[in-house]
Amino acid sequence: MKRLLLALALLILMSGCTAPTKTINPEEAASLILEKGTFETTFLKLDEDQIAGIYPEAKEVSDRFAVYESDSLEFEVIAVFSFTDENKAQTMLENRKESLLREAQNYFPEQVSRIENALLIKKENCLFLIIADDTQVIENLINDMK
Amino acid sequence: MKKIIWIILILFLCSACTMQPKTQLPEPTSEPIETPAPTPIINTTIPLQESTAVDDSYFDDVVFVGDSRTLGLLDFNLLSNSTVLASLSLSVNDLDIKKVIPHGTENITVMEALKEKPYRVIYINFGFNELGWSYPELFIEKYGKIIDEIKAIQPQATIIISPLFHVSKRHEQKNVKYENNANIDLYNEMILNMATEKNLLVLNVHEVVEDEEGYLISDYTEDGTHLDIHGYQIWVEYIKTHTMEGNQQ
Repeated sequence: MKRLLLALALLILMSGCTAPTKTINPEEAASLILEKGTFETTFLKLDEDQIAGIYPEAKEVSDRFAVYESDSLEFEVIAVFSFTDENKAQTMLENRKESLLREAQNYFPEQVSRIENALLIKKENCLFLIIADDTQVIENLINDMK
Repeated sequence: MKKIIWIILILFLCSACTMQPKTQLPEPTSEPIETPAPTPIINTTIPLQESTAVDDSYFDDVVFVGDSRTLGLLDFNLLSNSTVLASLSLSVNDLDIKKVIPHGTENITVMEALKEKPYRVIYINFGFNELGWSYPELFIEKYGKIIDEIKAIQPQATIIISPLFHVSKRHEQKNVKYENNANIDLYNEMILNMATEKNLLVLNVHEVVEDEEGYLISDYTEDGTHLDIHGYQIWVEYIKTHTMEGNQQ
């Protein structure tokens, strides 16, 4: 009987193994960044078609995502992808950053450093690509996300 | 009996500890994503042939839609009675996102601007800013959608599309990634195939701005990729002498 009780106690203790991983909701995270961050321009929330044009692998590497793009020629981006394939999602965001960098080098050299200093980080289930002048505040915000 | 209960409990515990979180990555695939080879050109498209020159009034109800390679029409104040809906850095993905067209006290997108009034002829020119896209076939897919949307907005208009003209020899020698004539040829194949599918007229302006080796003539460009004032003047003359009306006569 004691052994049974011990086993039950173990079962309760080890149930922690199945505790759900923390998950971040990309829509909520992007909205929060939009609200708390400092940006030069106004943003447009992209629909699925628009996102597919810019991030062609989005549905292949991510199950939920939210993307805001500047509606002007300022290169500012808030992109949050809940990844299903982290490596591919990372590559997809790096490609986007490289593409914007190339455009800036061609036409808007004053914006090159902003893109070079873009924030591309992972937090829990999400990858974030943030292009803004002040990414420190946003990085702190992301690190505090639960 | 107790042993059986023990075994069941241990099995249960083991299975609980090996349960995967929801965000577990799927098995990585080693297969690279292949870019499909472009389909061969079936060029039944009608390239506009030389015709009697039109005067400037021809452009009263004409719109030019494009990127920085079209913007020079505005910058150099050429064909000032036409409408130019163009911007630096614009790609086919940006036409309903970037508010780059002045409209009163604010800016609107190119697609919004196209809804403002009917046009008789629409010249459209995209592709240069898309040369570095990871998936070139997505460029032509989006370009095709844009053409369809423009046809829906402007059903009465004739759409004339331009393949990309090459870069200069000097620019190519810089080995700029993507901005080279081989890549431009790949994009032009896709553009011409799409033009064929959609029965668009084609303006082969590259005929007069490229040299015998196929490079953008250095006298017509400063940066090796865009036309300068001399290049634009040549382009405008080419447009005036290669019109749909002239080809119908």
